[in-house]
Amino acid sequence: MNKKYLRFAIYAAMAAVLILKLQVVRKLFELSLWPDMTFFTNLGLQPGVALPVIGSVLTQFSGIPLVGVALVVLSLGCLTLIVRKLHGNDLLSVMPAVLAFLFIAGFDYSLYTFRSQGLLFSQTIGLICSALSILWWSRHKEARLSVFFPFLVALVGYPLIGAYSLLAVLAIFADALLSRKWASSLCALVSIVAVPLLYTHLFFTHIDTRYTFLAGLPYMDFVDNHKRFIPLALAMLSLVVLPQVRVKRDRVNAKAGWLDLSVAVLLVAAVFVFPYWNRNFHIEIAMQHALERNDWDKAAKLSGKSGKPTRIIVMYRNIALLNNGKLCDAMFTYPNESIGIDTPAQISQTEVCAPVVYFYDGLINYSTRWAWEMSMMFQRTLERYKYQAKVALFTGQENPALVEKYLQIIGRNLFQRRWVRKYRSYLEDRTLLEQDPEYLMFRQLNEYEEVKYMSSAVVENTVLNHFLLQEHPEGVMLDACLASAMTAKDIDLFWYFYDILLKSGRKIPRHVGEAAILFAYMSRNQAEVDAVARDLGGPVSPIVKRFVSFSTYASAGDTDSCREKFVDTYWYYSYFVKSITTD
Amino acid sequence: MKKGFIKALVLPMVVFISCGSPHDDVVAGGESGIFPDYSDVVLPPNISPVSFRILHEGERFVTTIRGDRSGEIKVRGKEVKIDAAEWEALLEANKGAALSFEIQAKKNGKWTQVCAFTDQVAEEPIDEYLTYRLLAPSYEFYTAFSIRQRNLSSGRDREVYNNRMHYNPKEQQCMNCHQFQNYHTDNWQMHIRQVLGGTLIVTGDEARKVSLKTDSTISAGVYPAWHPTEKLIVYSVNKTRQFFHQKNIQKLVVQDPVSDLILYDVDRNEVSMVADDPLAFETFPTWAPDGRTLYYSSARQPEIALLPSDSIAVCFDKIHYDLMRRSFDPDAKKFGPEELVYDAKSQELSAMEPRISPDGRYLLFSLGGYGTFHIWHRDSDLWVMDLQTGESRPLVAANSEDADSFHNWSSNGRWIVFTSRRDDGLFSRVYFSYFDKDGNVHKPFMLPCSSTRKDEVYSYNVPEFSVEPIRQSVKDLSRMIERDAIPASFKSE
Repeated sequence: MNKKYLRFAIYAAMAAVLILKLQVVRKLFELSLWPDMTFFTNLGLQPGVALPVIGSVLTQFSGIPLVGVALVVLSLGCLTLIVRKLHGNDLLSVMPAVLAFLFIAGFDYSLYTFRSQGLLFSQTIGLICSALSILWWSRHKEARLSVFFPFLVALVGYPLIGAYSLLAVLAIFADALLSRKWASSLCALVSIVAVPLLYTHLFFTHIDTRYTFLAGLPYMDFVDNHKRFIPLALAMLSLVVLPQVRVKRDRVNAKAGWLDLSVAVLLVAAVFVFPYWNRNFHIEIAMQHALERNDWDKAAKLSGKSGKPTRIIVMYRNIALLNNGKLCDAMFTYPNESIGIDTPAQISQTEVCAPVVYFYDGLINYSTRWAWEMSMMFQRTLERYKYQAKVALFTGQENPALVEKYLQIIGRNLFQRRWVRKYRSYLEDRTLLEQDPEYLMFRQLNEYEEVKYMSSAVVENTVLNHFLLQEHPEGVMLDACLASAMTAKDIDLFWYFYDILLKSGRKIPRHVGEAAILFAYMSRNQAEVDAVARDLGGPVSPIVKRFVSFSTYASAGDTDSCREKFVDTYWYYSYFVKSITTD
Repeated sequence: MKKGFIKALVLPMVVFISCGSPHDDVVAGGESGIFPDYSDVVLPPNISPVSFRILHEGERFVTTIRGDRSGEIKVRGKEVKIDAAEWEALLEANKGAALSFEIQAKKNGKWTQVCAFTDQVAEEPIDEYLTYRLLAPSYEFYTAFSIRQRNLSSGRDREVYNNRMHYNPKEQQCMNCHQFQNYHTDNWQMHIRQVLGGTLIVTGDEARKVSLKTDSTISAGVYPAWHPTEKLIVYSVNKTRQFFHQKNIQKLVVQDPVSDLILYDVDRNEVSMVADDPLAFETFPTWAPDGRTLYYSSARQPEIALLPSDSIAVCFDKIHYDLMRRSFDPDAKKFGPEELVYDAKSQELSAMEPRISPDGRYLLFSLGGYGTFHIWHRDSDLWVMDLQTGESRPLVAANSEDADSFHNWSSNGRWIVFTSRRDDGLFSRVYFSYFDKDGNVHKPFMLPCSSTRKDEVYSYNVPEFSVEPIRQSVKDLSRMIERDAIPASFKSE
């Protein structure tokens, strides 16, 4: 089979995987920022500076995720093209690109805590620069002055591409050694060691010298998650090895054809098998995107795709349902598990979702606080600035200069003109802001008395406590309070909010009715049960009728039927969903 | 020949530009319309160029700066970046005189004056160096921030130390409270918290890292006050906590449920107690310039101090600090009894960070509604007390609607430096004000920066003047910090 088609198949597979992970590509854009040089001028230049800068610029194009996918595939194609010239027209020349792809496609929850900027592209760019240097060497190594080339690569490359320049010099060293070019190999060896040390002692005097030889690599981003770093390490290794096992000419016999096909099948399989496919991770990202577009129905629908959701999904879903007015009618028709986030990285659910959840649940200072904490602990991102801007705008008490400051930063990023225009118009004309659905909801959820001392360290605990502490909730606030009391299975507070609901004259939402009849039944007070049944419309009420059925199964100890027939009720949650882990 | 050729080229261009340049039928400027606002301020004669950005609309701009005595600088463009050598000469020629700024803009083909203002150049210079912390306004977590030193005359800025020198993704490192003895860098100190924690004490070319936490004190040293002449440092020792408002615009409460004052003898590496009243929270010490009086803030509120820690947290807005002082005998190293200097509590206010002018006459402090950490309190304003008359007044010309705090005097007492969140309510910037011989403060101006962008997202705090640069390099300090902290001993009375 023609190698061209096989290579195409591998690239098509990589593109397909990225398209399946389109939400992640978009997320990487939201978690990026147009490079801000004040960061470097204020806090010091790092060796390998070109990688995060170029990586961040290219990541901007992922604002249109398909363009981002195309650019990733293109950059991987460039890498293969160069490696082919080094290694020969063999399918193994795709290997570095596949490994670089697996590194990108393997991003898990760690992406929320990346400290390195532009990782979607930066490491591939590093590999390309490395490969180009090796290629130049392989073409000109017989030239008279080529002996100094390794030194030149390290000298020019180290400040720009950091460790990738050393990788190139290492490959040159290996090649020079095998070709018995002793002077060149010595020059390479000395350059690898001396140039970075000279730079860190004379120029980059403000960096931690422990990381001198790792500059430009994401060495801080996979500390607890080494597995995800392995493909990149292998890609780097392959750049040293592949030029040394050069394929002389195309093999055309049938055996070689089968071998190529086998390699291609293996690579395609690897492309599909090794990426990070955790369902909850992808659903969370898609849900957050839907929330930010105020597409509440879509967000709620997405949550239903996870049979065993994380609490992040549950919180996002509750926000969606609260906004479309269905919280207490629908929240228990969806799964309510507390599956932990699937990553060995030390990352909490709070770090993943705090700015979002706090913002939509009306705890705006906590939203802005966590957006800043995450920005400072990890990196400043478009997404975090957007929450800062919205909070500063919504409070109305802040200096407009602060909102404008955030809008200027956001506006420097690609594809943000419409977003900035929208919020700048709010800044200029507050009547427009007062028609914004997020702002309208914020105003309703902002009607509360501050508690003087509350921790915001665990997002779901904080949100639940916040709503449970309300004394006079109304409207959506009351819905959120009832939902929190049901989630926390706090019977006393449920009755407190239930009484407020009754006094308001509002229709009793489905799950509130289910909880009320269950709690009344559990109190073993028939008068209470009768009173709740009356509130719900008497014995003919569907809730009451269904509860009679549930209690019959429960009394008979038929838990299987209870699980099967009442999975969409509060009763199921109350009996079968235990020990929720919130972080 | 070459110069002549260039002149021949340039002169017609100048004539050409002049033809289309601003004329006299101009519209008077309203508000300054520049950022940072350098209008109507008193400038030190040795300050680096005050670059600014013109906020008015226009296609082209010309800024003319004229000295009353002599000299003129013309700068074209919206970004007004003044040549350092020309600026230095202009200031030198107009020391004690005025500089007039005129900004003209070309809009729809017509030149108009959009802004005009006059600055005064003081006779008295400002201290040449300012050391400050540069960080983003995060609260508990931080990856990268630095202590930096600015040469106020040249504008050159250098890193003193940054917390990436010992970067550890699992543990953070914080550094704070750099302070010099009497404006010189022979003796100075800074704290390192968490990773490689300790207090770095630099004395001449020597440095040691010490641990000031002893069994008899509640914490390591926090807010320092170097004695002006002796190798003695008074520290507050504080158990600090912070928590976050849910929606209050002030966002954050920083509180010390317990705090005392200790004296650290640098030569003996020995700590002794200065003030440890269990019913009072003592903090923010500072020395009078003669080294014979120690000033500090203290909240003596038994009804709160006796509460459990969590209950104290809830009372955060009921805690009011007064300004106190104690005499000091440098020979015996003994403190006298406590004396009230400024009664803030009776006004339900809180007075923090006392700072005495180098001539010993004025006491500068920040006054806010409650609590200890006024940098987070929007109502925090700068006040000054005349220690000769006992009268206090707010520094109206310097204060803003937002938090003004972290203030200090220059060594000649003619300049005060402070941080303010006035620009946007969140990011604190360094401001200077001229404090004249009659005790009047003048409109403040922002630390001149190379970047005039309004979108800078870093806060500046703990600005400290010095008359000379810090001698140690980042690497020197890094090596010093890597050492083990030597535990200080406690000397009981």
